[in-house]
Amino acid sequence: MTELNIGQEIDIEQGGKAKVTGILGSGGQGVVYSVEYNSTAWALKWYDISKMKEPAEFKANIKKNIEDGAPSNKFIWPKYLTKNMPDGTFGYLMDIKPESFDSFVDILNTYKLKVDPMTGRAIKYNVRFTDLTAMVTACINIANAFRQLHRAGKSYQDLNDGGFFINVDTGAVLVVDCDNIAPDGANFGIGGKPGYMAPEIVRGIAKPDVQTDKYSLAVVLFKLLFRGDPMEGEKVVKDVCLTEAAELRHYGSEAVFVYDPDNDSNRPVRGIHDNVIKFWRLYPDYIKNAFIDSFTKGLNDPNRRLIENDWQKRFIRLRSEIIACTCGRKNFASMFEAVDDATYKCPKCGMTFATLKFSNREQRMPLYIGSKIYVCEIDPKTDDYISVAGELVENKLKPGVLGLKNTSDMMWRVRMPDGVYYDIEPGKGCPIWQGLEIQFGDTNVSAWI
Amino acid sequence: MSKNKNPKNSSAKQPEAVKEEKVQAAPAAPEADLDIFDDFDDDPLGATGVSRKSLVIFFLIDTSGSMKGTKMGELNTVMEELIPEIRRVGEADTEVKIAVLTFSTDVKWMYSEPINIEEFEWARLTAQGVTSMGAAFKELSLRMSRNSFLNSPSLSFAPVIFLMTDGYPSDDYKEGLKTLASNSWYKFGLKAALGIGNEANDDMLAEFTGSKDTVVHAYTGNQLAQMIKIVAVTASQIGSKSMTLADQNDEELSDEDVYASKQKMLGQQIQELVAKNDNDDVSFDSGW
Repeated sequence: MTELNIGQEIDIEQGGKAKVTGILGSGGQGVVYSVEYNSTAWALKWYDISKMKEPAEFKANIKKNIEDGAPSNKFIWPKYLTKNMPDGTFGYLMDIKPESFDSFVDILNTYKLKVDPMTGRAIKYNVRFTDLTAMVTACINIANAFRQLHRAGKSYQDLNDGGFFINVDTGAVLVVDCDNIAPDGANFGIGGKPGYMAPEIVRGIAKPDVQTDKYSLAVVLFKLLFRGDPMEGEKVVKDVCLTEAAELRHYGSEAVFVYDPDNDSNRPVRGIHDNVIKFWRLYPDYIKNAFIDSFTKGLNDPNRRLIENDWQKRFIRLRSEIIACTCGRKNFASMFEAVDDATYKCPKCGMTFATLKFSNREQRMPLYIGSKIYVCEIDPKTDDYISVAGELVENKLKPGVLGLKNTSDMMWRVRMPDGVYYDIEPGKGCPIWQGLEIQFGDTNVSAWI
Repeated sequence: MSKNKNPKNSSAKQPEAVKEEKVQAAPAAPEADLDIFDDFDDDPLGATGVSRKSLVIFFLIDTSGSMKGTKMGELNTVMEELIPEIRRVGEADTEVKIAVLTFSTDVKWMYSEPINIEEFEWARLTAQGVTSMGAAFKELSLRMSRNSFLNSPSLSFAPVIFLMTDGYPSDDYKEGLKTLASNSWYKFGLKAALGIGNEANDDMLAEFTGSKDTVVHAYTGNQLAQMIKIVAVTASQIGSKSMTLADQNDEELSDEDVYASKQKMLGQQIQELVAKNDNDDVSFDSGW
C-alpha cells in the first residue's frame, strides 16, 4: 500500500489539500492518520486497497454515505473523500474521536495501556463505568444508534467491540468505523469479527445485513453487561483448542447460548466465566429473557431476533429501576428487598424507598434522591430518553423534605394532601407524600404514589 | 493477567500427566452454586476483564554461529520493536503470550514459560555454535502441551509458530519434525518460516510449515526486518480481526471446508505483502 509521510499533502475531492500530521493507529483495512484540512484537525482513514476486492465500488459506497449524512450524531461518519493516488489508493476524512471517550475494547478489558513518552513503557489505566446509570444509558444509546441506522435502510455489517467508543461517566456512545456501512442487502466483502458474527454468516450461508446486525447487537449488549461471550461455556471450553472446525461448530452450526433454558450443555464455567455467572443473577427477567430469546429462538431464525426498539425500551425501563441508596449501594430494584408491592428496602442499611406508579405501564418506579423521569416516560408521542422531565430532589429551603421537581416544559397538575389539585409550573416542584397524584400536561399520562 | 516466570507453578496447575495429547481433554469444573459470592458482591459494575481466549506465539530462532553480526543485530532490533506493535492485536478477545525458543548447539527458552505480551521484554540474543533444529522441534513438541506451556484454563487458539533460520540443520531435523507432527497443537497451529540469506533452504522450511506460501526469504537486513514484521503481525491477527467473506458459496460450510483455512489465509496474506515489499534485492552476502 502507499504509506503516507508526515507533512505529505493529499488532494481532497471537494478541493484543497489535507496535510498529514501524525499516525493515530492501524487496522485490518489500512492506517488512520491525523491530518489538517481547512485549518481543522481530522482523522484520515487511508486504505490498503490491495486488501479490497472492489475498491471503486467501496469508494462509491462511502461517497453515497457522505451524501446521505450520518443517521445521528452518535456516528463518526465519513465527511470527505480524498482523490485517488496514481496507484488507486484513497481514504476519507472523519472527525477525531474526543478524548473523553474510551474504546469498548478497553472497557471489556477494564484497562487501557498508554505509552509513557519519556520511557516508552506502557502504563495501565483503569477503564470502568463510574456509574450504573451510565452503563445502562450506554446500552440504550447503542440500541438507539442501530435503530437509527437501520431506519435509514443501512446495515453496519461488522458490528464488534472495536466499533464503539463510550464515555464511562455518562454512557454517551460514538459509533466508529462507519466505512463498511452499506444499504441493507449490499455487501462489499466484509464478513465480520469472530464471536460477533451471526451463525448464518459463520456457516457460510448468508452475508451481513440488518438481521445479522441484530444478532451482533445482542452480542455487544451481552458483553457490555455480562462481560463474557454468550456462546462460550462448558461445551466450548471442553474442546480446549479453538480450531477452525470448532469455531464453525460453536459459533455456527451447533451454537448454544450459555443460559439456554432448554439446553444446559454449555453453561458458564467457574474460574473462567465468573463475570457471566455473577452478573446473570443480578438482572431482572425482562432483560434476561431478551437475551434468551435473541440467542435461542433468534439464533437460527433471524426474524425472531429482538428489534432495536425493543432493546431500547427494555433498557429505558432498566434505567428507571435503578436505586441509589444514601449508604452507597446502587443497584437494580430487583436486588433490593421488596417490602410490599410499592416499597423497596435496602438490604444493607434498611432504608426504604417509595415507588411511583404510572398510568401507562405496569412496573413501579423507585424514588430516591436524584432519580429522574425522562420525557419518553411521560409522553407517549416521543422516544426522547435523554431529556429529563422530572427529578426527585431535596428542598433547598426545607432540608429533609423530598419532592419532585418539574424540569419539563409542561404544566403538571398535582394533588396535595388537602385533596386539591394545584398547577406546578416548569422549574417548580411539589413534596412527595402517600397519596400524591401527578398529571403530566396534556399527555394523558399520570402517576401516583 | 499475572506474569509468572516460575516454571514450577506452571506445571503445578495441571498435575495429571497426559501422554498422547489430543486437543480435546476437559479441565473445566462445572458451574458451582451461587453462594460462593459474598452477599454484597453484587455490584453490576464490579467486573473483571472479560474472559479471553489464549494465543501463544512461538518464535523458534536460529542462534547458531552463522547468525553472528548483522543478522543477529537486525533480528534483535526488530524483535524489540515488534513486541509493542503486536501488543494490542488480541483486543478484548485474545490474551497473547510469547515464547521464544533459541537453538544453536543447545536448545534454550528465553523464559521458562510463555509471557503475556504486555509484560514481555526481549532479552537480546547472541549467536554461537551449530544448528540443532531437530532438537528444537522435539523441545517445542514437549512444551506444546496442556501440561506445559499451553496450560491456560480458558479456551485457546491454536498457537502461532514462527521459525527463523539462516542455515541447514546440523542434526536430524526430520526425526524432530516427525515428533512434532504427532502433536495436535502443531497440526492445527499457524506455521510460518523465514529463511535468512543464501544458505537457508526454503524446501526444508516448507516441510516445517506444511506449505510454501508461509515460507518467506530475506536476503538483506532491511528485508529481514520487514519479513519478521509481516509474518508476526499477520499471523497474530488472524482469528481476532474482522474477516472478509470467501468468494464462493451459498452452501453451508463443512469441517473440511474450514480445515486449515487460517493457514491458507496466512499464506495468501503473507504472499501479498511480500510481493509488495519486493523492491530491495541486494543480497546479504553481496556488496561488501
